Amino acid sequence: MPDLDMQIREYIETTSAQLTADDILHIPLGDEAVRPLVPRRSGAGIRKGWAIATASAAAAMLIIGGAFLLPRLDDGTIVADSDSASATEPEIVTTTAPPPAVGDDGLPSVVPGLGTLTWVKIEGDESTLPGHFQADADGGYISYDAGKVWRSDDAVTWTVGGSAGPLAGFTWIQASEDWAIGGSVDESVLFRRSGGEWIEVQLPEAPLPATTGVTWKSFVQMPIESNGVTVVPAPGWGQVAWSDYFGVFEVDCDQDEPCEIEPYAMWDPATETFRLENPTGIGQLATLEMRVEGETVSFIDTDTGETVHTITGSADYPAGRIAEQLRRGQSLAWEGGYVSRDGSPFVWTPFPMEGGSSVVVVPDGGFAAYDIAHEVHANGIHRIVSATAWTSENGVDWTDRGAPPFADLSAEAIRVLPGDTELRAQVVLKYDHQRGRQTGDAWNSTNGVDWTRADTDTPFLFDLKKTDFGWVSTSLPQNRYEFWVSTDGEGWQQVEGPRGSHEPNDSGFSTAGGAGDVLYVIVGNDETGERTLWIGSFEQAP
Amino acid sequence: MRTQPGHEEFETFVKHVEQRLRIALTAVFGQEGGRDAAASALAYGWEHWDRISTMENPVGYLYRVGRSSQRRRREPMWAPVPEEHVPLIEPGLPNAIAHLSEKQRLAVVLVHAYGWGRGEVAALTGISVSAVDTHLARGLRKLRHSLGVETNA
Repeated sequence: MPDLDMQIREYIETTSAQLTADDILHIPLGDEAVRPLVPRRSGAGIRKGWAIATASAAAAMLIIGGAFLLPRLDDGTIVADSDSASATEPEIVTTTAPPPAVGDDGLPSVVPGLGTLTWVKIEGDESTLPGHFQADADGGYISYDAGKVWRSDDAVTWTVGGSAGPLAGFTWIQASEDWAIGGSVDESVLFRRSGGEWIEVQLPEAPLPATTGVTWKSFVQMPIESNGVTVVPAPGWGQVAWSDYFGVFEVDCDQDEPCEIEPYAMWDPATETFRLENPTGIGQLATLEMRVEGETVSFIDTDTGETVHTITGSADYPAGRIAEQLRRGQSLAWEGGYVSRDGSPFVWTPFPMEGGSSVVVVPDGGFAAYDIAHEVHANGIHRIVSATAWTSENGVDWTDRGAPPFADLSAEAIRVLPGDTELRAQVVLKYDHQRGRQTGDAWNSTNGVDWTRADTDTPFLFDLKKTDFGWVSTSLPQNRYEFWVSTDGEGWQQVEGPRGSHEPNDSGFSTAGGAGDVLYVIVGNDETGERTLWIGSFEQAP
Repeated sequence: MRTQPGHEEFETFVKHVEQRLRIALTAVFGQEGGRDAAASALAYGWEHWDRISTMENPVGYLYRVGRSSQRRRREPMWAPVPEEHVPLIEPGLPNAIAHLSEKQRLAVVLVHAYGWGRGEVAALTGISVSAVDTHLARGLRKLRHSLGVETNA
């Protein structure tokens, strides 16, 4: 068999299709589809603290306030005047034909407990339809697309008015009730809501002084790569936030080799400021060599030879233990210590888990994390090797809970998803590589420790989004969005997607999911500014 | 095909950079995601051709654009080894590649499979050369371990 190098090259070359300028410049338009209007979303009963989980290679994401991130590349300007009370009326294509019980693709459009799903297609452009939106915490829907504030009661008819203030000018915005990140190609900025206004979080100009007893928790990987911001109160030290995609921070150390430590933004409750290690949004890796001498652990920047940080061991965390945990690749921090590339300090908090563990907020209170390790066999099949659960009341001190009951060693993958009332562990027993579909077991827990088996043959779902009526998942196995809905997070039903929706990749950008009362698909043509929105809503039989 | 000023120039640009860009983004996102990301990046490049065409490192810039465009958050899909290549390519290779960290995967594919220099990878991605070295070594080690290959035979 050829060298590994040659195998990799051969594999990539034979499975990757070449693009031409024709592929880039030719942007086809979509097809027609008709549906009645959707009902307006009720402002009552909208719960705060939604949890939205999404699949990632490593972990789940938790966002409070129902925020999500919709990608697109577009720096076009909005046409509507900033003082206009409403946008030009979008074209809504309707039909008098009753929706079928089963759609053209054979999928049901009636969901028990929710009613009949109907889709309406709205055609417009960047002046009448937002490229992304989210459910508003106060009811209805809101978007900060293109520097403006968009509002709608039903996600169909939008009113554009008012400036998005400092959120304007970003190509994507991720916003929760109190936090927002605005990003573009090569920058990202963090905002905090204060007094109803968005305030940009300023970086401290000078290193903060060491403060005994003040511990920071690193969070939010580089915003341009961020998958979400979780902000929760941490007893004793204000608010903490982290991105579950990479856990607290990423530490990758092998013995006798340089440690790679990618610090992320830190929140200091004393000064109420964040520190972003690299505000350009492009990941910069500080490669540090670790040396232990006595009770001192030193970190030397391999590029400059400069000692950028030292740690003095303590009774609880002696230098040898610190070094050993780093060598084993475990996330590690300490109180009172600093690591900095340019002199700005941040202090890390000890986590006993392996770097990259999924940290979730537990419905009963506190936090939980799950170390799930797997190995790849020679036939390409993955198998779980071990699983360990950890819990914490304050996010700082963690307790090893041993292997959770869902740690099935015949499984290919396990992940734990957050929820308002229950955590959900999804155990993948079988992975269909062709369809991107997985089946397995589901387990639920309110405290992160005691688990109840929920269902078998539950589809393993990507891009989970929490809605007013339950959960929605979408996947894109064959360039056409698939929708799965659930009212309780346990029983799932695939439903008919919007007929005639574009193949998303041909039109600039696309996104799909659920928010508030509705399902949606949004497709935009960056070249022409055209946008098409499909809104799906459920109606109970009278 | 549209006829606009700069079209021929852009077409030449695409011919020159497409493969590198697509390979780099495929290394990160898999074949389907990589192609999507490369198409998004080049479409962005066409839209902003006036500015992109004057950049010192347009490929690096468009690489970051392509990465930004792939935020659908679905797992990267890696195609199985085509049947006719099975005797020559380990069937477990796609999964092994998929389960490298993103940076390891990028470094391994670009350097060891396509002969890119470490400096080229660093320039494209914005990380240090020493970091590229580290990702290379660890990525290849993980691949060999995953595939049960003791040496690069």
